[in-house]
Amino acid sequence: MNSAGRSPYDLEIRGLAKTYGAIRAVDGISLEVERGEFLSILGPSGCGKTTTLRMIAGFEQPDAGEIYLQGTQMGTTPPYERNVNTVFQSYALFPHMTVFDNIAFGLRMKRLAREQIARRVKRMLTIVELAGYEQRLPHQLSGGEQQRVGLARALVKEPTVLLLDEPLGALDLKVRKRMQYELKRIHREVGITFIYVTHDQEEALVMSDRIAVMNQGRIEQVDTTFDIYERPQSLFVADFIGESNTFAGEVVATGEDVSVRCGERVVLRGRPVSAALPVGVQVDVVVRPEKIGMGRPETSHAGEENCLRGWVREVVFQGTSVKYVLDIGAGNPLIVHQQNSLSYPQAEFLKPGEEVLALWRLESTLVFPRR
Amino acid sequence: MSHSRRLFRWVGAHPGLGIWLNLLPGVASLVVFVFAPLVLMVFVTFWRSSVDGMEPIWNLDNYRKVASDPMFAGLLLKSLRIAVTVTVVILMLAYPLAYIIARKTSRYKHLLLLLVFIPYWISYVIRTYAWYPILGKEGAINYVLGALRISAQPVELFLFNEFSVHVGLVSVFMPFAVVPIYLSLERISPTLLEAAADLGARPARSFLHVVLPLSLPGLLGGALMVFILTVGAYVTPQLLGGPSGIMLGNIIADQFGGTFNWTWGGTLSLMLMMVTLVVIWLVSRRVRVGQVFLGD
Ligand SMILES: Nc1ncnc2c1ncn2[C@@H]1O[C@H](COP(=O)(O)OP(=O)(O)OP(=O)(O)O)[C@@H](O)[C@H]1O
Ligand SMILES: [Mg+2]
Repeated sequence: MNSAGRSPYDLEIRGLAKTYGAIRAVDGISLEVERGEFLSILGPSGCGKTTTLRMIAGFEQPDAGEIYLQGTQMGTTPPYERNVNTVFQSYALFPHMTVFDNIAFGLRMKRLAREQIARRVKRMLTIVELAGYEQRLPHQLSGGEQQRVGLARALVKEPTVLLLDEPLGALDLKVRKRMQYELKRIHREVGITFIYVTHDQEEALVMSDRIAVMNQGRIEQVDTTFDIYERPQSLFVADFIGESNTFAGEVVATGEDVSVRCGERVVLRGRPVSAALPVGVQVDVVVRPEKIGMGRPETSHAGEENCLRGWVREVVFQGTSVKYVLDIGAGNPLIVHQQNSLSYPQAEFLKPGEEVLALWRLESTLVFPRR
Repeated sequence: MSHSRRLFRWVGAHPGLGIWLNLLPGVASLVVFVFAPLVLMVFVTFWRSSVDGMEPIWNLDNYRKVASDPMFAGLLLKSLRIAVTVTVVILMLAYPLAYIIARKTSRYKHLLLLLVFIPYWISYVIRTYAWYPILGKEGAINYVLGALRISAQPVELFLFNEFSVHVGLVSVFMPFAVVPIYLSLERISPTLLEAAADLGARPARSFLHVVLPLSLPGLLGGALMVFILTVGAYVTPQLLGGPSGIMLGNIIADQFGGTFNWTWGGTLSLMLMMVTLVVIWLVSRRVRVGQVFLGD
């Protein structure tokens, strides 16, 4: 059972690297993707996401490293011989072919029988909900519809891995939200491994089983969406995913947890993410805005290890939540998100200038050594 | 002064009129330089030629001649045959050339395109004469054949016949096909080729199913252009054709220059124009002709 092709992974990448002139577009990345998984590659613009995808598809040759599809080493296998299909951001539909012919293209290249092609295209059209659009030309479709044709065209080949490079990037917010949901449904329905490139952290969180966060050609962290959000392994990941309060400080006491002095009067207690941190080390402390509670200054609080006196500087009503900007004297202001659970006539938020206590748990305080 | 001011005010009060006034110079020159001569030419075909030009004596003699004169039919067919052959040869040469230039991503791309046109800075006639020292009895080809001892005597096969007419026409009109083909190839997004490869198309099939159909407007446009230019050509056959390489264009030119039979010349021109229009019409059923020449 350990012959090639019996790998537990649909896709394995080892030490992949690609350099363009002086730019290290991809700088040695490794990754394993399990069968049927939905993995997002997330990172800022120019971090090498597209380059990685293009190497998997076979459009670019890596300078170093290897790619295995179900255990088979890809080497210099050309794109047309890889059992991988791509959904392009620009759709890249063949403008001279109807929707039917676009979707049938890959099957015709395989020289399948006419009836078989018709059957599979029809099934795919049902899945992407474009039945009845067979005879339209791409320019007669909306952006969302074109993208669904692009998806159907790739999926109909039943690839080992489906690569999607910011497939929703060109769509407006509303259509994008609907397509996110559609993509998830389709992923469940076809059971194919999806590698989904995006620079939208919210999109990655909503859709993925796991997320690989990339930065400057390297993978910072690969984890489930929950762990990426709750247990980021680096300041970059904590900062890139979701919103966060970041304070620079110095370790003043250490043990199972650490105390960090940030600014003149403020000492925060938190958990170091990796190794133990000795006293005197420069660190960054991160707290998510929604983990912070607020109380009246006169009440006493146990349970929350971090309890800071502050003043409301700004109140921003955001509909489902209220954003408070607090002055706590720790360098940066502290941002707090509170669920808007008030019911109408008694609606009463804090006002600028009021004094409050900001409270949060030790476990919600992430401490990263300064790099 | 006040008249012109009143005119301006009147025009200002009728904004729809402005468009027509703007069009006026263009329309007028079209009428004077294109439409009127055409109508005149059609009239003339129903007149009679005389010693000192034409007499407006209405008759159908020229059309009877068209129907009965075997020389006309033969020459027309020959011109069409030459035009089709030249067009096909040009397409076979121009397509790969345009393809290579379009696929180049370097900055030499535009230089290459310019190179295609450099010979056109030299007069058409001189370029045509340039074939004499190549194809002629004492020309380069005969020299090489002699030097290689392939033929003892200089061969007179290459110049002043249909062969040399083909060679001359191909060389003269080739860029007119390269440009439209190049433009249509240039417009094909490289992502489409990647998509084709991604879906399992080998390069040859990707060419056949994606590149070729998408460059068809350029291909047909180039073909149309070359065909129109070739079917009515008369300088090249005059200089390179000799007695056997004569085309319809030469006979037409003759009616106006040598034979002095303007009404017959007009009739022949009209026939040639009809044939050309039919070809344009046939092609335009496949692609929009505007797309061919304007690139959109
Ligand atoms: N063909 C190329 N030639 C030269 N440099 C390139 C090429 N392709 C990519 N690069 C460079 O490599 C780096 C990574 O590019 P890549 O397209 O992979 O980024 P990305 O993560 O997909 O970004 P985005 O989110 O903006 O799409 C960038 O700095 C880019 O400028
Ligand atoms: Mg990209």
